[in-house]
Amino acid sequence: MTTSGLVPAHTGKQTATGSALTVEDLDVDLGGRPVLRGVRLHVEPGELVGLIGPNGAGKTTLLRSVLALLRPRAGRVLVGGVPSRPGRSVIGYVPQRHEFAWEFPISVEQAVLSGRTGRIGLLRRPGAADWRAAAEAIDRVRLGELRRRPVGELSGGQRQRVLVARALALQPTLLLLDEPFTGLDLPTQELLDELFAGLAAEGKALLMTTHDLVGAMESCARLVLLNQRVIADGRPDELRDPQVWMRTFGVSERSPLLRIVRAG
Amino acid sequence: MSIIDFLHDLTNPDLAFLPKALAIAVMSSVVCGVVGCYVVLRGMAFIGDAVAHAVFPGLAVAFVLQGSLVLGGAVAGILTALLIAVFAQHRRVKEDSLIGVFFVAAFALGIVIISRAPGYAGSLQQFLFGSITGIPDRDLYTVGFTGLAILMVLLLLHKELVAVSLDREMARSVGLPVFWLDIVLYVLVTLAVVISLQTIGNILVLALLITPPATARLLTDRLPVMMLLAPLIGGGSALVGLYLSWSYDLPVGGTVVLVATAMFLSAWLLAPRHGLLARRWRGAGRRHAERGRTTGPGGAREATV
Repeated sequence: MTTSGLVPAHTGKQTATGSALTVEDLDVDLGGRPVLRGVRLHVEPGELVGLIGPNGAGKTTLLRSVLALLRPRAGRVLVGGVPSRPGRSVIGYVPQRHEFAWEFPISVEQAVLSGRTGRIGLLRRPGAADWRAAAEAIDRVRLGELRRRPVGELSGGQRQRVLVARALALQPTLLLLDEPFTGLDLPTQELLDELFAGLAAEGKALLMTTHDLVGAMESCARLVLLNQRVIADGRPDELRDPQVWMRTFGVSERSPLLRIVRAG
Repeated sequence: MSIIDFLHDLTNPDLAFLPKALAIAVMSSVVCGVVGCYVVLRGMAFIGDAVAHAVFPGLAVAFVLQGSLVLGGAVAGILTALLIAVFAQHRRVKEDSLIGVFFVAAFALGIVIISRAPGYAGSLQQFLFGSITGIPDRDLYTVGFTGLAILMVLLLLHKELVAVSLDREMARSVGLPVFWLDIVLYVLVTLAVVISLQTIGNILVLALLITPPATARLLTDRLPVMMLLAPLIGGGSALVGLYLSWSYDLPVGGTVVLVATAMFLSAWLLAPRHGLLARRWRGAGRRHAERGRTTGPGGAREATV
């Protein structure tokens, strides 16, 4: 159950409308070079899916395609059964921490509220519903006590939680997380792990890119191994075959990576 | 010269140009202070500098044709800003290099054009370093209305401009027109520069755009406060600078900028939370306290710079 033949079998079972996210035969080129080829992927409500692959495998490109920020060469992306469009699809996007201007003089509360800018619309002020959504999101990530703190004074883990709250302020059914664990210490990672598991339990669909294999095998319901194509897609215990990991990461059989996989 | 004498001169009908210059200097500093907040927070200082250069050929053409300097400068600045925005879509050459190419070329074009006008040396100096004499009455209204329009647009688009400044990718993903918001901001910066040129001059106008907001940033961590403090600091610098310049017969642009710089340095030293002295004092206090980083509420952890 570990070859790529498993992938169509998996997607075949699902109807497109039931999935929070369905990616169908996606081809994406960047600067004329192929980055993604024939990518098929689905994420169900209540599922935390780990997207794993080496640098340059196309993980971020896949996330940007889901957000419809890139025009694919072929294939399509359905969010809640409808083709993805910026501003129309309700996707909670949690970018890598360095994408955000942390030196900006803005409080946690305001930063989270800024997630709803597109929803509020031009020439309008945030209304009661917007403030309520922001407050709920802040409570959800347990930053209530820091709501008035300038974002520049937060630790790495707190910053990551601000980005999650900003995404949650849109009340999305689908969350895209780009490397949420990078540069965080273990206790902070654990805290975030609990948060993501909780969000999945509430019925949200989460797709997360990560380099943290140990954590991903532990916390993700399903892993998708990506390197231009989907190399394998299955539960962590279905992915014990070293071959798929060697193909995904282009490493030899002596790589310490494989010890982690077998131990997991 | 005492303040009383200055007030006398301001009301002296023979010196009618003086209150006019003061009004224009204060209005344009206030507008630059507000617009500059976005420039400083987005790290666009170089673009501000570039726009200031780019308006020059427009001024030169307006001067040669005896037209409106504000209009000429605005057209040239906006045209060049649009050129940059369009060329920047291709990633082969980086934006800062493009700016280096186009805006300096625009400045060079301005110099060539104005050299064709008779008696250009004097007017060149006036463009570059500012002057308080020879401001036509209609400029008072042009500056006033343009300034109001700039502030209006900023008020209406504030939420979107903040979202784009915080995180462009996220802004795109929620469907904000990031490219057009950039263009609007460039145009507003250009207009703010153009209305400030008369009194401050082409070279020094950058200081009005950068120094007061940077000073305000040192004093607060809250954006609304910053956007209130920056125009106050800018307007105050213009007022004090003009007074000093009039009293001691100093060039007005240079004096205003030096006053603003003095305010920046004072804030650097004395700011309540982020000033040098406050840091030193807190640092000494902390050495006595527990070591290690606290990250919880009330912790003294500072952002790494």
